[in-house]
Amino acid sequence: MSERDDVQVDPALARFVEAARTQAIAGTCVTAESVQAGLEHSRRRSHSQRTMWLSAAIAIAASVVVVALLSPLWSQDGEGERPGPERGTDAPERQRVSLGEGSHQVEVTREPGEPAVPLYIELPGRTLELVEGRASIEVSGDEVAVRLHTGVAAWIAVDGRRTQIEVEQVSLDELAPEPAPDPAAELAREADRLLAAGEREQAIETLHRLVEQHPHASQSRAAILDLARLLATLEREREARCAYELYLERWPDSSVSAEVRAQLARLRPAKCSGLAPR
Amino acid sequence: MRELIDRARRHDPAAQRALFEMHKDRLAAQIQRMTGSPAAVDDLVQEVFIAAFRNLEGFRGESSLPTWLYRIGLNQSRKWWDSDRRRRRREQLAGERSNNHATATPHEDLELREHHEQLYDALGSLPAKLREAFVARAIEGMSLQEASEALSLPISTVSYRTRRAEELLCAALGVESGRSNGKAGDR
Repeated sequence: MSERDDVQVDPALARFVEAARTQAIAGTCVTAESVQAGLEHSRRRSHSQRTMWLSAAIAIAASVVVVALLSPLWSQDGEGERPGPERGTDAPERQRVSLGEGSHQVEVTREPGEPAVPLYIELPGRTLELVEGRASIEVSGDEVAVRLHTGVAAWIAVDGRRTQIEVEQVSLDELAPEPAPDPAAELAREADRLLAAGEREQAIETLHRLVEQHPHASQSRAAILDLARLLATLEREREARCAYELYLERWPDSSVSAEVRAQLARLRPAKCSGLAPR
Repeated sequence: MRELIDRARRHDPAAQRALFEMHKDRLAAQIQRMTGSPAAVDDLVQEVFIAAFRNLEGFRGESSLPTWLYRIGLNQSRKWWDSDRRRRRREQLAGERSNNHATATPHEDLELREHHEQLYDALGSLPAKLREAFVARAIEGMSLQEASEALSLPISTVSYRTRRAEELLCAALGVESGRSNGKAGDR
């Protein structure tokens, strides 16, 4: 393979690449002292984290020893037994299985008139209690999906909390929950789309909603500046002023606060209540 | 240099300071070209040197120190692109455009700035691996060999990723590729 030392950029990108190559380099104000201070801080934080983990490990080891020593006192017939859900003195013996990677079909049947004997299925991070019925279980690493086809089942968390599983609903391991929809992100995307389409008035409305309905969202911060810029462009100076002032009220120490103040100096005075001029 | 590095490994502040002063300006320029953001440079330069001095035992001299620092810079820049990049970019652009609102700017400078901003917006939409290959080759102007060392990749992979990045950038920037063969691949 021949090695090319000259970089031949796609001609269509040449002017963009030229702009990147010739950008004025701002340099850095970082000093050796600040690096060394940061290094020292980082070492101290690592040391305290190690100490914390070591303490936690010692505490866990100690509690395991205590449980092991005390467990004979818990068992009625002298054998060690893990505490679990409450049961009567003549309840049938609990059955447990562990499932590994792969797909599994599990069924628990009950004879008419006989008491239920739940099956406890040990899965990554929690236990599935199948009282009766049929379930499909998929195990992949730390993730588990359970479909209860018939019967009664529940998740049992490490702290004993029970969560009933509905029949014929796929129940996913709570360790990997579905992310909740983010309305602020949706509004930000909508505003971007409207701006790109040149729909400035609608973009202004959408940015308004984002800023007012989600004042603490990360998208709100850039949205206020976008809004102010748009309003200033449309010569709605009093509204632009209110947006800039709201930005400074919320983020007085931001890296662009000086520029925002410079913009304010150019705009017509106004008294504001949030985004609205009074 | 080897002695300086050995002393820095032993946490000698004077050696660390010397290494910092020798490499900070070059690293700062590289980070600015990786991110397109002068505002990000200080934080990232500091993070890179802190990481470098913490992990100096891991530097075995198989590559040069500037190349090693470049790789750490890539990692930090990748985190910068991943976390809050959208918010920072919009905020920075909104602030910069607002600042230009009442200022007369030479048209050529304005066009260069627009191209710069458009390119880095488009770079932000690329997968990190493609972006890094393109920045190393097209913006830093590294040879294939240099880019291969800096990115710890085979030369053929650098070539492929650069071509692929160009395709995606042309699409993102809405320009038609000027290459006669638009297919990506080793050449």
